[in-house]
Amino acid sequence: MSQKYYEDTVNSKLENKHAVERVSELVRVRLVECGWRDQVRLACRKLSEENDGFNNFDELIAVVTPTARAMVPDSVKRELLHELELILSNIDKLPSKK
Amino acid sequence: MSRNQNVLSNIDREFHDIVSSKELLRQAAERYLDKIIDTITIGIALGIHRSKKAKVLDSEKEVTPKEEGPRPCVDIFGPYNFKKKYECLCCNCDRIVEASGFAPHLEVCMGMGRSRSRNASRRIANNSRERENSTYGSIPSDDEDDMDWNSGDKRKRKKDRNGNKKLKSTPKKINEVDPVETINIDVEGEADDILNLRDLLQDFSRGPSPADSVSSSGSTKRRDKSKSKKRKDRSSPNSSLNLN
Repeated sequence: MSQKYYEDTVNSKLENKHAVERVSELVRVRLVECGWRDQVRLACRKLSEENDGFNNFDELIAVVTPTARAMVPDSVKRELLHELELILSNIDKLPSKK
Repeated sequence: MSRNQNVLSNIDREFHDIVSSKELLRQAAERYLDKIIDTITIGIALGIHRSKKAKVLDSEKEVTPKEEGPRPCVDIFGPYNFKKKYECLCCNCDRIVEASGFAPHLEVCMGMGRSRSRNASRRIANNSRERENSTYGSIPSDDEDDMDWNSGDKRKRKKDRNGNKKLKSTPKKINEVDPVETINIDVEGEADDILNLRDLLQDFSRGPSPADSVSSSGSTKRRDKSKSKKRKDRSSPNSSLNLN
């Protein structure tokens, strides 16, 4: 199984159980609380001003996403991973509808 | 339905395999978390890109709120001590007027106000009197319209001069008598409102006083009775003639 395959499987399983919104909301709240969102905003503004607004939005995204990933604090990332694993194991334990 | 069921069952099997293995579970969780972070980042970048394009970015640099002394009184509708001035330009006199007072200004400016209408009616009455007194009958008029106007005004002259002598008027002049009656009873005088106004103004200009008005009302009441009697008298001979 490829790594991309894991993402799709998890996503499809969460969609079946209507848990995608809850998980994404949980992650968003944690990132806002730790100040990651504001840091990413400032970084985006700086990059857009330096490169004069970027002609394409894709260019901006290509530059911003790796920096945004790196900005996530390790403690917050660990906590989120732990919580996500618990959620996935609990979903697996739920009886499947036939 | 069978295809969907097969797909769902496959997904469940694979998911179970992932969760059962710790390493696979960790990798899957990590990749899924990165995917969520990327979607959030795209949302933030899109907002900034849009604001930059709309040139709103400069206003957002002030993140810290400024504390400039005591804040003005604020209501749910906004600061209620703040008076928003909406100014309008008057098309008639080209003045800038406040919106709250624009309607009364227009009323005065365009000549629709009460005082102006009273002044205008007084001027009309004064002008008509001046014309009558000065050179009204002496100037010969070539136009037929002027002659008609002259004849009409002559009748009015007779009214003004006769004043109290209206009781002795002929049956044709009943209409002329009506304005006096309308002071007390307004049933028959609806067609002569303009004439009534002029007469009133002239009467008041001669020397109005409450005593006079009371006496005049009393006299008019007496006149009414006399008029009603005279009307009956007038009607009776005709009826007698018809019978015969």
